[in-house]
Amino acid sequence: MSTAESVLIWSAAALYAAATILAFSALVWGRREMLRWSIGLAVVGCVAHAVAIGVRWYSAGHFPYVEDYENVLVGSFAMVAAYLAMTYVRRGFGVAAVVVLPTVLITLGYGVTQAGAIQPVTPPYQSAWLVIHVTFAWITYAAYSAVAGLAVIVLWRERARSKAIDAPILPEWIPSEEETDDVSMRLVAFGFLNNAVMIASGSIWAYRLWGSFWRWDPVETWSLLTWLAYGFYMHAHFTLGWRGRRLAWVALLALLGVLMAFWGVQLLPNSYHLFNSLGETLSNQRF
Amino acid sequence: MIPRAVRKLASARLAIVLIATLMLLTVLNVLFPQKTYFSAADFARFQSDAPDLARALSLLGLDVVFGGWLFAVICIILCLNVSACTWLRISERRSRGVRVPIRTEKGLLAASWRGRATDLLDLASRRLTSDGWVLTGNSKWVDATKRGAGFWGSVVLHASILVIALGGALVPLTSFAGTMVIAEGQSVIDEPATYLTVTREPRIGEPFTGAQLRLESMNVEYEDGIVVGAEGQMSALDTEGDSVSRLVRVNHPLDVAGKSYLLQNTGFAVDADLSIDGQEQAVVLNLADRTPRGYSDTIEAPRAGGGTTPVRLELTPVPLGPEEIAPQRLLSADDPRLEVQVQADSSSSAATGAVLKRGESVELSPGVTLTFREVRYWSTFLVRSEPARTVVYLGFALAVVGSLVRFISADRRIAVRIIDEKGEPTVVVGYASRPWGSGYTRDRAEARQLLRLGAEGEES
Repeated sequence: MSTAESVLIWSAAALYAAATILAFSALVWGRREMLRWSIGLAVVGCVAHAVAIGVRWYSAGHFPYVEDYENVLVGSFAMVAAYLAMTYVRRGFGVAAVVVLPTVLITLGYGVTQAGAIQPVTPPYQSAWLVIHVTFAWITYAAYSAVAGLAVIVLWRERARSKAIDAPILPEWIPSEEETDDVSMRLVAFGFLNNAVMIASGSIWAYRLWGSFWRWDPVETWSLLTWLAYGFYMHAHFTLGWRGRRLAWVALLALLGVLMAFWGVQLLPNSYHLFNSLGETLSNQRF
Repeated sequence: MIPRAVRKLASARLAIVLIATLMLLTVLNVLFPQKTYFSAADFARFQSDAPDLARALSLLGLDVVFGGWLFAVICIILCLNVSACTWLRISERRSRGVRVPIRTEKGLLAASWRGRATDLLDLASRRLTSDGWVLTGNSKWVDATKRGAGFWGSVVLHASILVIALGGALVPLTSFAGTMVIAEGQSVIDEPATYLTVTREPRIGEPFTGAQLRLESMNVEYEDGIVVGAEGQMSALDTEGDSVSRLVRVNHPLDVAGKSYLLQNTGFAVDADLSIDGQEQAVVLNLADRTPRGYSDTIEAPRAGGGTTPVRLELTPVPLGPEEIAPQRLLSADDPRLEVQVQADSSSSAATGAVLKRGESVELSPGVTLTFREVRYWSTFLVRSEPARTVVYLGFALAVVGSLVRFISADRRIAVRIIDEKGEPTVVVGYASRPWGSGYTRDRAEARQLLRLGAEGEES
């Protein structure tokens, strides 16, 4: 990692951390200006993050999608971008930062620990299907993390209600349950669609690389289960009429699948999805 | 009547339990040693270290979670759950028609009109019928619905999961897996004798295609000591007479007669002449073992008077001293050397050896000479056939199409009600759209128009 890239990444991380604290404060004390500052800091952090990706792209000579660090670098950027896009639609959704930005920070932190010397694009990665696969993965997980952020808004409202706190105590700028529910549903539907493309393109890539479109690799399985879980979310919403707290918990639990797919693989003794070793094992001894 | 058992099977609670159980099994897959991820030796060690746990895991199918009976049973029940749910939805749709609840949240009710309620009801009926809405109602209310294709999108989406599961079930019945080695310039036929290993044969269809395959040439490129390009020019001719020629790389297999030939690995082969009592024959010797210095193998060289002599061959890409190891660019044979070691056996008292440059020879035994001509590559190909994968791809394509149709095409409803408010009949016009408000703008306009016309009618 170059110095410029390092400075940019750590600046982005610091800004995200500050934005998270401000978003928490805004939620707890109901101060709207704190939320504005939080969103502002997240925007600046996102710009630094984008420039870091550009620097990496320039120095590596290829778009950063190859190893674990690069995958996380762009994936976490997609999460912030989705969060900011949602916030652009409705400022009040900015409080979703209390979940989205910590998730981004953990993701980035993990990625930085995995960063090594820049590697050329080895043969296993030289596939358009892989590019499609990771791109849709980033979009999917960005949408799902935003949904988890919105779930917190729903749970916050529910908590206020269950504690018999008068409704006016909740700041009026916090989006209504209906509005939050509607946007969550749209994001889940969007993520679900992209998730299907992500799994399908991944299986095509897998067949062309390993000769098998599905190997019950834990990451593959987690992706499939995550897809089913969000499918259930939609089913619960449309067919069973679930709203509010129950659906929010489904969103948060389904996010577990996303986290497992991203980091859970590192717990495994062997997985085809160990991003940081794929190039090594397949390029030096085997292609 | 929908049988009660189907309703039970289609329950959302069951779906939650099944998906949660699958997630739990996936976690267990991480926690418990898996045959899939451990080498046979490591797994045997685990079995000897913890025999009771190993036996319990085996009994529960948890030593190969994703290939175990428990996982399969849950997947089957989940498929039944989705099937029952789909069937139920279709049945309900047929019997009751589209059900779009009028949402009563703030801002979604259009307006109310106080006037002669029945006039507006009549007007609404006429107007909505002429506009293609399907009406139900009586003298107190009118419900107008317009079915989008969203319902069928939902059915396709559910069906896609079943298609994916069907494809998955067909894979073990129809797939083939094996490996073969082809050297540069070599032609082979897809038949049992060609294969190094065959690990899976299909239960349906022929395992071997009889296609002719030829590896014309191989090329390996390095960048900073790492292989960044490895491609082979291959040609093939299937039994139908269709030929194909293409560059084969990792991620870019050769597809012939329903099989894919995936480039996996490459090493050195020696292009040599073997002379026995003056009679020369060209041979290609694949050196299978990777060593720190290059590639090596032991061959049984024929003797002039019959029998064989064991000969160890090691090819290094450049000249190397006794303790030196190969450079990072292992497969770039810039100035190769063939180290020949004739092994001592019962007929010869001591081993002899030589290091050959291209064109040089060594006597292996009296009357038998080996001449090193050139370096070639051999390549290992993973040969796979998974015809059922197209069913799975179709399933995912259906999922995408079904989702798009479901989310884009809205089911719309306009409801006109006469309600009694403080003893006065009042008309309320509501509108709704599912899955979300993509029909709101049009329907809000329609609802307002109804009220406006109603008001004008009243005035006139």
